Amino acid sequence: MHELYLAQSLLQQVTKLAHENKASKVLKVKISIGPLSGIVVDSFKFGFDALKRESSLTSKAGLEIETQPLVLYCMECSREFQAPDSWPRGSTTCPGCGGQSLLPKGEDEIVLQQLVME
Amino acid sequence: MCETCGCSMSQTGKIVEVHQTILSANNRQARSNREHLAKLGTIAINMISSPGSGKTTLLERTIDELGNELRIGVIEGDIETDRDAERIREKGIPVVQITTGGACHLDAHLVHKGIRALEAQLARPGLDLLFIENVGNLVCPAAFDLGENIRIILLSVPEGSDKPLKYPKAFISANLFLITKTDLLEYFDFSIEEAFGYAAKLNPAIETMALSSKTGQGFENWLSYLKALTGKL
Ligand SMILES: Nc1nc2c(ncn2[C@@H]2O[C@H](COP(=O)(O)OP(=O)(O)OP(=O)(O)O)[C@@H](O)[C@H]2O)c(=O)[nH]1
Ligand SMILES: [Mg+2]
Ligand SMILES: [Zn+2]
Repeated sequence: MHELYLAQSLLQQVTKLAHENKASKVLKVKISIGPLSGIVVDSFKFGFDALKRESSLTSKAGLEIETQPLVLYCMECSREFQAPDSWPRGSTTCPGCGGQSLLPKGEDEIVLQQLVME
Repeated sequence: MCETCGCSMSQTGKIVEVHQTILSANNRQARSNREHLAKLGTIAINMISSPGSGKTTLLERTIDELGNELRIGVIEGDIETDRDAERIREKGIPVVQITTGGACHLDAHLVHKGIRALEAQLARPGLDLLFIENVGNLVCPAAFDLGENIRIILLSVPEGSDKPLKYPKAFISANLFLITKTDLLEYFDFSIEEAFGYAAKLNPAIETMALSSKTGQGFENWLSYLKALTGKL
């Protein structure tokens, strides 16, 4: 349900940009979803596909989603490494120094990266 | 892009690079709200939680305790009804109800309207504290900056201490993690230590507090926290 509203925000922004570029059809929408956004990617896709049909401008638009891995930053030795699936539930330690003060790093937003339109 | 090999050869159409968060319009309005509130000398607090975690009850008791000392206003976000606003109005505090008409969160534009409507109710301009009770859920509200100064995430004891793991964004973006309904601790398998531990993993800078609006346990800390925010400790 929440993803639906975010998909709607995306489509509003896409529509605005399409008008600004005097396009008649949007072919592709490329976005990235940050690892800390809490977004369920499949629900977001579902919402996008349902809502894009409401306008002929966007009805044929493909959605390309780039997801990024969650990175942890060790506050003791400054190393950065990819968070294991068990994080934050398990007891993760830094592979460099064994440190336990780890800071999650990564986008927490949905970013519209690129549009292809005609 | 060419479907088969990913090259850009067979590309038709015009490519426009955007690199903008989909919330950029909201974020612009949030900045403007923040500036406006600063001019009014108001500290705004965005309260985020699951439904029923005790936001309105906390506000009622807070108003009882601080209503004479501080000038408090409330914006109530709700999907449909105005019951919560009615509860606050009974306390004699300026309150504005925003119904989102189905949307599961407040956004900066709605709050802008809310601030305007609230200002119209004030006998003289200015508020020390503006509480914004967001719509009850932990996903969307966390994504929308309203222009607040402080974001509080509330978690009630019956909800379980592993909530931070399920809604990381809400905890990462918050300034204060407030556990509510501590009078129920003896009936639930809830560990304050565990909840605070998970939250600190996600957000080492987050402040933590626990209280009960029913018994008043933990309230002194909460009231001092609020007074410190307004500079009136
Ligand atoms: N035991 C106990 N119950 C509480 C406490 N605070 C609130 N409640 C109860 O929890 C229920 C929900 O409280 P509300 O204050 O309406 O919660 P809310 O977060 O404003 O709810 P929504 O606005 O619907 O999301 C009510 O029945 C309250 O009486 C508390 O500290 N202890
Ligand atoms: Mg309420
Ligand atoms: Zn390390």
